[in-house]
Amino acid sequence: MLSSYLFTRESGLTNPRELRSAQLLRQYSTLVISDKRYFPTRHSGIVNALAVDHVANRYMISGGSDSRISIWDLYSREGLRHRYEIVAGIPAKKGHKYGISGISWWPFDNGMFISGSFDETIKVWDTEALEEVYKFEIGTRVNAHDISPIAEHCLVACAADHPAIRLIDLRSSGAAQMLSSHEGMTVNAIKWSPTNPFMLASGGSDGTVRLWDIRRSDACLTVLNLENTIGKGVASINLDSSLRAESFSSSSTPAFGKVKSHRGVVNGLVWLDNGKKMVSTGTDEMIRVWDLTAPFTRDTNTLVNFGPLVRNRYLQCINLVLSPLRDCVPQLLFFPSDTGDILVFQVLTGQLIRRLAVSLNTRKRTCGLVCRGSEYVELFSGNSDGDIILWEAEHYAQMPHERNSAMNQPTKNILTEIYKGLELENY
Amino acid sequence: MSYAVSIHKPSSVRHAVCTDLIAPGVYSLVLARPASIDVYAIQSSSLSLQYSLPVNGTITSLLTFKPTVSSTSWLFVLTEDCIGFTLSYKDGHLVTEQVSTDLDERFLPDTDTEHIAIMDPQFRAILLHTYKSSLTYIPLVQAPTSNKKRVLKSPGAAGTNCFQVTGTLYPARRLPIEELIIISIIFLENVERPTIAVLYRDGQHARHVKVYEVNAMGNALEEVKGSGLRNVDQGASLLMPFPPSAGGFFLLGEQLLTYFPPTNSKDPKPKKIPFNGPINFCAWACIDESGKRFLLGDELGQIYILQVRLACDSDTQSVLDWKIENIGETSIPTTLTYLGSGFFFVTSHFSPSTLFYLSPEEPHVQTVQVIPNLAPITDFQLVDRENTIDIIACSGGFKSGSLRIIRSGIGVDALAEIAGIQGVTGLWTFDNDIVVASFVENTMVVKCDPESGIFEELPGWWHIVPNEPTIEMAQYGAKGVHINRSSVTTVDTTNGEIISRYQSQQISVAAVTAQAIIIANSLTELVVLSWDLTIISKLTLHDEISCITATEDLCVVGLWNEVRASLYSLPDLNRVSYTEDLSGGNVRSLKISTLDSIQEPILFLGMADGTLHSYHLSPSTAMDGELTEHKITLLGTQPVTLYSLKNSIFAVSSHPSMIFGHAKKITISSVNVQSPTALAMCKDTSIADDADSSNVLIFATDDMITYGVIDQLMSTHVQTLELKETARRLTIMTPAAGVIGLITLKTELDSYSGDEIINCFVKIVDSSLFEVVDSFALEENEMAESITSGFFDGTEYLVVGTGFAADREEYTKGRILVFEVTNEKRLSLVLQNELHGGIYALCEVKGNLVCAVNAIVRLCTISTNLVTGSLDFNLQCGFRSPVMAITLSTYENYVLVGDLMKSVALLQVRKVSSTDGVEYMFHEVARYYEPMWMTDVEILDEKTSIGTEAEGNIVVFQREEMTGMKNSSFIQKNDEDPLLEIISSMRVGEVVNRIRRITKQSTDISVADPVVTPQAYYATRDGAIYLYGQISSQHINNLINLQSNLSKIVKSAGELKISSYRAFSNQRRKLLEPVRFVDGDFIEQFLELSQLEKEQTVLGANGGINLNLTVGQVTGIVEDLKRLR
Repeated sequence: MLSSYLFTRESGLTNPRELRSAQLLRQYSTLVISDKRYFPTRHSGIVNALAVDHVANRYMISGGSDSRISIWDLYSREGLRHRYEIVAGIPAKKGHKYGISGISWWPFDNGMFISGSFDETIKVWDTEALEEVYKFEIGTRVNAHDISPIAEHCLVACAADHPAIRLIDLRSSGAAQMLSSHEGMTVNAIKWSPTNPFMLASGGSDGTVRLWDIRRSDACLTVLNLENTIGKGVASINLDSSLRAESFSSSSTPAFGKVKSHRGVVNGLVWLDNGKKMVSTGTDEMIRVWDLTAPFTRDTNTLVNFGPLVRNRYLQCINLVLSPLRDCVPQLLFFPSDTGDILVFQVLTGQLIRRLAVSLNTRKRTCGLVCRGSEYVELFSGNSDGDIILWEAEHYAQMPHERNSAMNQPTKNILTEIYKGLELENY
Repeated sequence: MSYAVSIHKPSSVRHAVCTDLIAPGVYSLVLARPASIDVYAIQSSSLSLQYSLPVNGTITSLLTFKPTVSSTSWLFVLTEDCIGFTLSYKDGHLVTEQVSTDLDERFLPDTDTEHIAIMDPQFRAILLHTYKSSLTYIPLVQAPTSNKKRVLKSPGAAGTNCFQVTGTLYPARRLPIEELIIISIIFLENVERPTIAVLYRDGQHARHVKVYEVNAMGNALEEVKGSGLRNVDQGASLLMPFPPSAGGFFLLGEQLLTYFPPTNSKDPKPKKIPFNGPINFCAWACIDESGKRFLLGDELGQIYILQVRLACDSDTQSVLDWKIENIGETSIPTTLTYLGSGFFFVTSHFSPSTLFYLSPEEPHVQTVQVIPNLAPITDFQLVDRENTIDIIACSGGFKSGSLRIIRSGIGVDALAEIAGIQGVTGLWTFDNDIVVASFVENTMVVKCDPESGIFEELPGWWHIVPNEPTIEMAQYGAKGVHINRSSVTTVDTTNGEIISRYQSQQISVAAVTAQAIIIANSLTELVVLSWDLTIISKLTLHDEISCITATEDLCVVGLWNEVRASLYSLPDLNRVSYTEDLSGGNVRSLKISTLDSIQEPILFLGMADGTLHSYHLSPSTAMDGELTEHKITLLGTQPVTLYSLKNSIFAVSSHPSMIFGHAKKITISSVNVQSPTALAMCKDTSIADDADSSNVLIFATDDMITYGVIDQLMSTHVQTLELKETARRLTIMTPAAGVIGLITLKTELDSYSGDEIINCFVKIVDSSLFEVVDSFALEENEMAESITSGFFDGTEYLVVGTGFAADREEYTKGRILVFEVTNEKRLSLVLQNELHGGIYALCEVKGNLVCAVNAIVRLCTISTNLVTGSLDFNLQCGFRSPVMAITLSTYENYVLVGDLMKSVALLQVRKVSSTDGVEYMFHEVARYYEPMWMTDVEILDEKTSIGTEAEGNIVVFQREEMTGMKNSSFIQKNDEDPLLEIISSMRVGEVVNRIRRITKQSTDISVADPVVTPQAYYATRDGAIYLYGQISSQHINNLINLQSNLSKIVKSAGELKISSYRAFSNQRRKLLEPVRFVDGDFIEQFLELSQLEKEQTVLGANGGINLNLTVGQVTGIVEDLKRLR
């Protein structure tokens, strides 16, 4: 309990990090819908995209299927009921014609953000003036886009209703590269590596998760194979090297063609922060954790079992969110299930920590999902009704009702008043 | 612009090694404090500090190893930032051999425990546990190449002695490990490949032991099957390797000692023998290399000896059985180190680190030498005294828990001690180390040899009558005078013959000047004698004379029944004037002295209640009685006795002080010695090495006479009240109440279940006697969390906040206890009120109580009920802190709330008039929005406040009417949303537990325009106290540039940069350098540089900035800063 943690911290019996870890785990595992802070206006449609800026963790952008974009100020006072305010926004149909599929902040400062839309465009916005800076015509519906959090190359990777991945360059404001090897009709999820600026992962309707090195001519490094399961190093070296040769030879080899990552459309991806593991989900209602330590061709599927609650049947890109790196060990995975719940798993063990139920009676699906920066323990989710919900840790004690507690000794007060009255009479 | 300097350096010692660092075969004890490495020479029966190396980093581990290429051992040091380096001792210095920077890993989460570093017994590798789910393996020998053939050719090559420990740290490898919560790791002895045993805890709080071998490539761990043990003792916390004679290892549990034999032995089954527990072992040391005897220390500070019986089986030995025996008591150990020949050293976090001797006779454990320690300081308060500030601190823990008065003052370093002389009431010294000591009934003349402490009596010297006490002695030129109760005797000092003698009745006090001898005869008669002992003048006063002092032309006399002193001209004894009526009872001691830098002589009057008055005398005072610049100072609580020193005055009240002149002002400073009963300046002594012997004192305390030299530098002096339980918080009541209130926590071990029983108490300590006068026990399971005192409804109360701990859950119930301290200094509970949560913090704001009840900060009023006369407790407004409000600070009507996790919020208490009368409400003035784990907060003034953060950082907040964020001004913010902005930040490197602002600006006595204005003190869990100050605007650039220039000149151990050491750093955010913060301890290193280096620093060599000052100017500034302490 906190008191003994505080005692051991101040006396030096334990490292202060012990209190921190225990407290953060407690908070993440008691997430509830905030009773104090709420978003007053709703999108008239599904809230697909949420993004919190990386610089101050202060501004959140929401984008919905109503094609509206709103910027919220997350600084809020506690104590009283707090309405989050929209500080700026782009009205419906002004910026994008159709719904927004994804929004990302420029990783290095919050003067710019990028939005992808079903109107077949990706747009770059100046946050200050709220003006469109660039517009990229993709030609098909944009399902997802991503910008590398570390790279200096300013490439936005775009997953659209097209088997090829488009890389668009913000510097030259033109399309830079096409990465083709996906065999299905669409690419549904895309994520840059958090550690390697040239590495990209994508998931498509062909049921594969592919890793790309954009510097290579045959950019596709590998296809993650769900059959390559973790077994303690038995493969002989000869077999190993042949496998490697096979997989890197060409993406069109038959061995490559059969490989599947999911037995369905891959529609969600997230890298673990060390860039050595990745989580994917697909319409086969599975979540898989992949070990990406080179070579990628063996021992990739770690067979973590996430249990029977995972529901994922829609093709749309799912926002998989991880808790910030140093907040919890192992990291937590927030999975918006089709039932409307957000499932909280320990990502490396698959253990279900908590089930965040959005509502009991109606089937509201959670679409947009974002975790505010490290140590905030605030999860924002946008659902199919257009609401944005803040999830925060349960409070240690609820605030008693102001008025009542101030008057909690009524008998004495009455006596005092009588006495006062008597005094007055004496005058 | 902020400045921080240590008043007391961190004194907790967590690591110690005994090694032949300096020369082959010569062992030294090396201690690692948080930011320094101290090398102690082991002498026959004591330790002496030989070398101290400051380290720009928080040291988390210290290891030693002996490379085959070197004749002496080296050290390996690991810092909090995961930088490891090796040190060797060369030419009187510790030299950095190699720095290993590849230990730091950005993407791995830090462990929740302290770092663990272990060394393979054959020095093949170092293993670190600094990250969760990973071990760092640093090979010290070249790993066998991956070439298969060579490995095949020499199987087990790594195990034989063909390796060379060159002292190189080879590139580190990460060894993934499944276990998340590792409690203890050791390397095993007598194994082929480096093998570790791991004690770990799983998610269900069960503890297990596993043994791993590092594989041949040195890049993975392979579990040694069949040698671990699942579900070991719940309280097991320590593994202990057995020496190579038998190998294997011990697991120390609470009730059970388990021996794990080596895997290759015949019977590898763990062997368990229970002992009479529960004992929570926390440290061990091996006494002899064969492994027959071990020292074990437990958390209560008991020391045990483990005797192992070995079975000799052909050429191998195996452990047969063992027994544990309690042999005595020590400090609470963090490590035990056996130094050989019966001596062992206990490093301690909670108690002083101590050298002990294992004696064959009772008592078996004998204290030999104590290295003082203040850690952990959990709370402190400041008490203003004239020119100095006392820090009263809760320090130490458990059985070493204590309350301490820490006072910085002038130091008197003891040069020599002469023991065995008791009851000295007066001391005089003369040439050739002759000391005259007066006792209540007699006088002794001795010739001392201070070097050896031997003294020899000189009967008949100056014809002093031995069976009478001496009142006064003096020597002017070749003439000496000796005054006792019945006579005044003058002697020729060249041959010691009596010149003349004046017989009298009842001399009580006397004063001697070069011209005259003034005595008080028959209690009331004032007589002035010439040196020929003829009466010059006489005056009978109306009361008994208590004290006299005189100059050439002026005599000042104090009477027992008067609250003033009278001035008489000399030699004719005309009364010139009186002083005004003085506060503090009658005059007990008088001295006239000239002080440095003050032209006029000054008259000091020491009063009966500890007050000191002073007047400036003018040359004409003897004529017109003019007294100017009256000053009053409270020195203590006992009558003041004054002694003249050269250009200064030594005053003794309840504790001693020095009065000297500095920058034309009278400066009073505490002296860090026990109150002497008599004191004299040494005239001429052989003891002082330097020619200037004017600083040498001789003084008598209860049972000895000490020669000491005055160290003009301020040092710290600590007075201790042992409580034998952990003091957690304290509050200081007004002088009228005269007590210190504190809450304590007492832990006991239930002898049956082994569970900890915790009892909390409220105690009051008499602030002048410094002893506990009353204690109030809290209920079972009730934890005392906070204490404050203040005037509520016109009466001073002591308020305690508690919480009820039930089944390890968070507090759902707590009490506020209001005590009145009676005139007899007893606690009387006048009010108690239950609240829905633990009360983590309390403070008083304008006569109202503010309490932090779990996450809610509430304002309460305490008022007297007009009908019943009892106290009423009313909850008023509340404010909800994001997670848990754990600390509060107030300033006028502001309240600063420190949250456990979501930083700080500044509130203002506002009065609202409503129909029901006056009501209060909290208005949130400003807030810092980013998460920060606060340990304490303090408001300095309306704009500025300081906060300290759990991972050892200090930040300065400033309130600003901000409009938007600086780096994103895209949004028009409304101006009603002010932010707290961090304007400076620095890493302290230790967890800061408490900050207290300095309310009275009393330290700026000397300089009109100080470089740094002290504003607050802060204290850490490692026992350090720091002074925080504000740098005056004109010196900001100089100091900042000096700091950066200096970092380019000063060589640091392990090439650690001061800028990265002092840069704010926690799990969320790491900065590159301190922000608008100057580290005073670092700046002071300037004074220790050579002239050339000083010049380079000032000119900004190695890419610094030219300061455009001379070396002298910079030295002056730094010396001024040094005086801040």
